[in-house]
Amino acid sequence: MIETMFGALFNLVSTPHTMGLMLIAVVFGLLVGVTPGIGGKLSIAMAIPFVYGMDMVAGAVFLLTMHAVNGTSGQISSIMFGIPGDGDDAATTLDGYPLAKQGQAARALGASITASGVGGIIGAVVFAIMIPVLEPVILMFSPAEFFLIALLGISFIAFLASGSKIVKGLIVGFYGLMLSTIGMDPITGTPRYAGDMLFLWDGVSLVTAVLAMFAVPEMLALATKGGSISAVAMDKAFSYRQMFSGVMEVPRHWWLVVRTSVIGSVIGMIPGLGGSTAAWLCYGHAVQSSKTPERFGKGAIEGVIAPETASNGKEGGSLLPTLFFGIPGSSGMAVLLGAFLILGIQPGAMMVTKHLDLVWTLIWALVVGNLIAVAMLLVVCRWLAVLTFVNGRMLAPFILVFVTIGCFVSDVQWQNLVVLVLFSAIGYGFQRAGWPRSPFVIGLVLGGQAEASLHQALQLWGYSFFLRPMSLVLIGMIVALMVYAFYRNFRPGSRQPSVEINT
Amino acid sequence: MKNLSFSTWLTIVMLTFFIVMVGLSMEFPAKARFMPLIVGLPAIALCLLQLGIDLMPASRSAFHGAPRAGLAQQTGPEPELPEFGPHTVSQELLMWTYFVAFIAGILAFGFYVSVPVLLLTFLRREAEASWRFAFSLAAAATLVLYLMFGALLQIQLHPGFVTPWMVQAIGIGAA
Amino acid sequence: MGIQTLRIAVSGAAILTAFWPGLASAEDGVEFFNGKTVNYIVATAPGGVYDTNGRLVAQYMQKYLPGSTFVVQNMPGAGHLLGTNYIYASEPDGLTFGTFNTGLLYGQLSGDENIKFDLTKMSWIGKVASDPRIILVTKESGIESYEQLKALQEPIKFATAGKGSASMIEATMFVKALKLPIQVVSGYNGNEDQLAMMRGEVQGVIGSRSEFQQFVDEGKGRFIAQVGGTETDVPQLSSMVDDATAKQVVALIESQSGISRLSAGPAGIPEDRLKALRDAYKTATSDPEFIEKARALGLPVDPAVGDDVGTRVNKALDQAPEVINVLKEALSEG
Repeated sequence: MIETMFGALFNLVSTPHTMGLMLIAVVFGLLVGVTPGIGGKLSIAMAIPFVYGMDMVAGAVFLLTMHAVNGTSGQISSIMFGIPGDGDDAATTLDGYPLAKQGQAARALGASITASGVGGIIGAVVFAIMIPVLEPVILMFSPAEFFLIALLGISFIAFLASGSKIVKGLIVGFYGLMLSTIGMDPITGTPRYAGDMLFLWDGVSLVTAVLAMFAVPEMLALATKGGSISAVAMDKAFSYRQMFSGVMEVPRHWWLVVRTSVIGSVIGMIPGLGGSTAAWLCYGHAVQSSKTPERFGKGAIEGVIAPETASNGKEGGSLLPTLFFGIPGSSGMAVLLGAFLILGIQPGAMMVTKHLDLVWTLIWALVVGNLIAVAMLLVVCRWLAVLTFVNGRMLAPFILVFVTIGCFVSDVQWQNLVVLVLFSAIGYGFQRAGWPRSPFVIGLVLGGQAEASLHQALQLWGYSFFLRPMSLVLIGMIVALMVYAFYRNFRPGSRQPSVEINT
Repeated sequence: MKNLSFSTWLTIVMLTFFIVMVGLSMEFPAKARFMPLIVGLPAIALCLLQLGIDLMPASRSAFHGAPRAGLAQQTGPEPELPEFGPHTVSQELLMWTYFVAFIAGILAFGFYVSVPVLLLTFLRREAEASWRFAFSLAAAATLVLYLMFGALLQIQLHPGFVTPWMVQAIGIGAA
Repeated sequence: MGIQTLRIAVSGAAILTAFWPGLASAEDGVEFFNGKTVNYIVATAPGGVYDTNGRLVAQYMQKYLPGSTFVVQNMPGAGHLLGTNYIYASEPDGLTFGTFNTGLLYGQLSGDENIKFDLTKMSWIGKVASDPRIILVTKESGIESYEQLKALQEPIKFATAGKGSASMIEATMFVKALKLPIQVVSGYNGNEDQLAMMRGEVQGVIGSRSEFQQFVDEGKGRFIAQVGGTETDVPQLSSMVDDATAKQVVALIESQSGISRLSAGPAGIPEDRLKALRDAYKTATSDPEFIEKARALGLPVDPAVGDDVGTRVNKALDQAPEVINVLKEALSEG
């Protein structure tokens, strides 16, 4: 076993051809990931023809690396401009952008990039460890558990807003939940609130909603206020130092990092829990497990680390069911699966027995790819961070173009641009009124999952699905969390009076 | 009506939103109505609750933290974001106009026309850039856009509703 | 030049000009595509079998239409409706066509108002594969034959994809028309149904053979009946069914399964260009490289071109009212 493990690593690293491909994959993946809305999926689908001629291993490594790295560069625009590339990045924006506003973009970037890398690596490790027990673990989770996990995530909304804002936070969360009902419902297939507007049948476009809630209001505020994104003037000498201090934050919070990477990769391993569940669940977890939760939303570095480790860890985990069951663990994996098939890789139980070396090669590709990406980004981000000190009025129109392109490209219907304007109005309203916006994404992302899974669970077991062992565990967790949230919020006289800056 | 803060108006807007959504959901078959109701009804309650908090005079409710030292609790919520207020309204409206006009431009004329126009106008008027600077930035950005999307990724950016018709009328290019 | 020569020259030119369009159009077909960009629309999101298959087709058609550039555009949404509506409404100049789920046939049959296309009028280019449907049961269910299934006292659960999908429609139609003791549990996307079977949540599926072949090969389940296809190891459903309406339903599904992974364009593409497209399609799908890659995607490659496909579609859309009733019932279930 050890032999195969390191043998695969050696092969990978010593083949210039493969390493060269990985390098290209990393660069390309990073570039594509920077623009909001251009999903990694599209880029992989387009890269597939290039891969036809390559041998199986090289092709698989190339595509997998590209995919693994796609999620990593989205943080750049999230942190520096408050423009999330997708639902995952929105979690990073919550604390990353405030850090940029405080002149600490380099630090935030350093932390988030390192966190991504570490998360991806830990994810690969978890993958490797879980190989023998994979099947029983996956089979433990059924729609009943999916529903409860989604509910758990939703209950985190209670943590994201505290004190006088709790009602407002809840309203925003419910707003997200309400929007998640738009579209064809899983039970009767009625196109709710969509009627003839076919572009709404699959629900509100997530990228559009996220951009409208976070990116546009921030950009408009920036353009209105003038000045630069960073309220603090730039101190040239500190840029590297600042970035390095960000990098060091990751080992400082090592326990959080380990926890969120593992949670992320476990979520990735379970097909059926898709989207940004991992990132938001871990963000919520970071808030809930912190002793000073008020810092979140204003530049708490854990708020940047947690979602990043989670979403990269998720990719490592999602490779498992894809390879061993032919069941993609995430939507990115679905594309990869098609590519693997064409390359001649047959996913299935035989992977463990006959093709273990391929499996290890892929794991190592994930690890090495992440390392290369981290190194590259760390070098480059120092220059990028400078942009936060540029005059906001110069940046604003470019940001606007960026945002609209992202919105349009992600969902090619022009009506989404109109939706963008409408939702931005509400998002701007939230920002201006100082309401917390983070609960919105949780509601939007998890609402649909919760409803669909609930429906399935009811179909399968009727109301008694609550009594399954795993379900009881989850219910216990939810109840405990709610109690804890209440306790924290209503403890008399325990909070310090402080000026509250809004999220 | 006494002077309501922005936040209170927002609460009213949200309340209306939820009422409308719940109302519309009455037309759905029973099972499809389930989720909207489970979300909408509590949301309406929450909005009313928030309105109550906003409109009642200062109270010792558990929702308010310790009052600011020295400052008597004022009626209604504290000003949330001091940098916004009546003094910024005209600027904000201006920025919104740019935004909406840009989107309208994209819808009508497509990306390749609207992007340079927006960049040029904004940079010139708001950022007070020189003609040359603004022009070169706008041109460069549009070029990058074309190279990345048109040439490299082969993704067709929205061509607008007016532009293709205009182009055809002038007789350039195939349908 | 004398006035005489001039006259001849002018009349010669006039005659040429009159006949020029005629002369040109004889070769227009293939020539037309030289230097043009073809928009191949895929009605699903990137990834997934339709997309990969569509890109494969586009790539090889480009090879056999010299000078052309095929650009694949994804247009997902509303269960393939968005993309298909778009294809149907686009200019019939031969530069826009694409692929979508044959399951839309059911939508048109039942008179869905959101369908803005008419499958009978579309310009059919071809189809790649045949995809026989099967009834599969898990090993744990202990069922070994179709007769055993029919004779069950308690209904068992079958997994299907989401409400409104072809998978769910077909399964529900089967259950109703054949009066099978099966409870349909919907909402399993992609390969989640396989996981559900492994968990023991459900005891079987009605789906396409290619998807579940591996499942059976790994010993986790067995096929107990098949619709269409040429394999002989599983009994044909049609041979085990007596009721007239039931037979028609089975026939409908069989005709559906024979038209898998199709490519079609809007109504009214000029004959010569359509012919060029069909020819290119034919050559592309006979290309050994293509066949190899398509097989890797798991579908039995069984190409057909042009009117052959059109006739099958027309036939499939010509159904007796009883069948349509069954279909409508299946759609409103839930």
